[in-house]
Amino acid sequence: MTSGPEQAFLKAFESHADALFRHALYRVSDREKAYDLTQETYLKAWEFIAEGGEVKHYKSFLYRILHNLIIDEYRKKKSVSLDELLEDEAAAPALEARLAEGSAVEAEEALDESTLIEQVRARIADLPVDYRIALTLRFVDGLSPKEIAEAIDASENVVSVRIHRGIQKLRILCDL
Amino acid sequence: MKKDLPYYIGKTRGDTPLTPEERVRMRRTIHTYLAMKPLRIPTRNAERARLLPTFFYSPRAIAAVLVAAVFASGTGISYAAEGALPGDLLYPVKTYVNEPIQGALAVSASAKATWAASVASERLQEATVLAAEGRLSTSTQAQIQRNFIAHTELAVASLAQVASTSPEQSDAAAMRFEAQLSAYQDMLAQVGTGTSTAALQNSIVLARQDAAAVRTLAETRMDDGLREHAIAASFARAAAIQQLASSVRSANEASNALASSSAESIAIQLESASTSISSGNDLLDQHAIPQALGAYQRALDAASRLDAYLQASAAIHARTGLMVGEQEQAGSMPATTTSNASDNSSALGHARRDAHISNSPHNGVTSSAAAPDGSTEQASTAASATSAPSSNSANENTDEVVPAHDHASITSPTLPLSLPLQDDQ
Repeated sequence: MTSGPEQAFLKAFESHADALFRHALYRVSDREKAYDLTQETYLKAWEFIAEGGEVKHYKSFLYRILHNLIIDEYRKKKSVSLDELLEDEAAAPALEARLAEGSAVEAEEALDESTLIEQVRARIADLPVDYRIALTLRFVDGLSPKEIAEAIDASENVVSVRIHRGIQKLRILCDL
Repeated sequence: MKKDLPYYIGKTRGDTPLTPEERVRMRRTIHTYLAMKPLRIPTRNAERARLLPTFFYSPRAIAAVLVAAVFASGTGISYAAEGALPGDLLYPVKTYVNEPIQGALAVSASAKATWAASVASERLQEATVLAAEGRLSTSTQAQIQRNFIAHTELAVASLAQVASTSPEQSDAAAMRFEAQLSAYQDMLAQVGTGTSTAALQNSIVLARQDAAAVRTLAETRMDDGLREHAIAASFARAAAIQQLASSVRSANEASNALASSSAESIAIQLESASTSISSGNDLLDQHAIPQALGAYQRALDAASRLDAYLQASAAIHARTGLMVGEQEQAGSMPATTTSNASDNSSALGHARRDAHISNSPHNGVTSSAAAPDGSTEQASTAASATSAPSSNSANENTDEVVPAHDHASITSPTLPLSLPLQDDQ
């Protein structure tokens, strides 16, 4: 027999496991790692509940745990990956180069939807990491700004700003 | 008409959910983890807050109220009976009511194993306390022994059943059980003056052999792949953390019960177990999984022994007023205990902070153990610990374990009882 909290927890697994896994995969690009992170998220969540913790909103609670596990993952990496380097604000010159390149080459092309999607996907990776995370959580994972704020431990204002600036930058990069 | 950017961003998701096999695998792991770490029974404070109605004066009404108070939890379990020893009025409630109810709540094989092992350990703790009091008669020992054997057999059978589906989990649980049995065997040998505890110790030896056999069974069932090793490390780590948290709680309860040298030794042991877990985490990061497993197992073993020792010490002190200490501290000059107890608290307080496992970001759950002041505080601490990066807690590494002050005058009468360590130490 399962009690109320257990049932709620298991339901949260059925409901959110896929979404969490996708998000993890998006962030770490390694399927096995993403699987481990997702599982770890649920185990940690249960530890909290078993000790008597109360969960009001499973979605942002779980995303919060996953987000922090992913951050821990990157912190532990011995060698900094090229992706991480590019994500810094210091990579602005590279962005500028892309802007110039993009407007010259792609302005004449007729973009059908799948090409555009690929382009967006590529350009998102060029955004600074904070913007990228905000946009991902908002439009890929479908979290509300409030849920995002809870997940990444920032204010709703900061989240909204990042979303808007991220959209702006992305728009420029994709020449939309 | 061009669709807007958020639409395209959403489309970049790609359809890469968990495969059905992955889902089944994760679900299984989560289910077994749930069984291994069940929900806590609700705290007793809420129940005790119930007011006794004062307007019933007839003897029957009073008796009914008293019975209701004893069983106030509403689950049928009497918290008042939890600390009962053989010979106490409420002992039958403990063994015929509480324990069977908890056993009935343990449905899965792993929950059954956990429950049966804890009941078996409880029998040994009762025997240890009675022996320390000098009250362990032959008949009582026989009674305890029968119950112990019955629950050990149940635990072993359940562990074997778990081994068929989740050998890694069974291995970790059997290891913990084995360590506790070994600790109690050691303690019984130390306190068993007067009445011999040899009969019970023999039963423990047999139980340890059974537990070792289950471990062997589990290990043969484990495939030799990297993922299986990682699963084993994961279970061992979870068990080690849980056991360490339990030890820290027990240390808090036992802080008045331990002689100063023991408190110091306990603090060191707690810190050492915590460090083992951290080392395991580091090894895991370096993908040295077998070594990480070893580190976690060492921590699990040490924390299991510590927990048994601390719980027994607290119970002995509660019953007899004796302090519990290392062999060389066996003094008998009566004196005040207050200053000693507060030094123990400070030594253990430092140990609690150091056992915070502050140098690893993994362990959100242990910070809840470091603040055992109330369940709500545990919840909020755990919540903030899972979210906060480890930077702020890294500062606590600088706290040293302050040794308890040296007292020229010996304290309260002390029962000589050394911490049972691993056999190869």
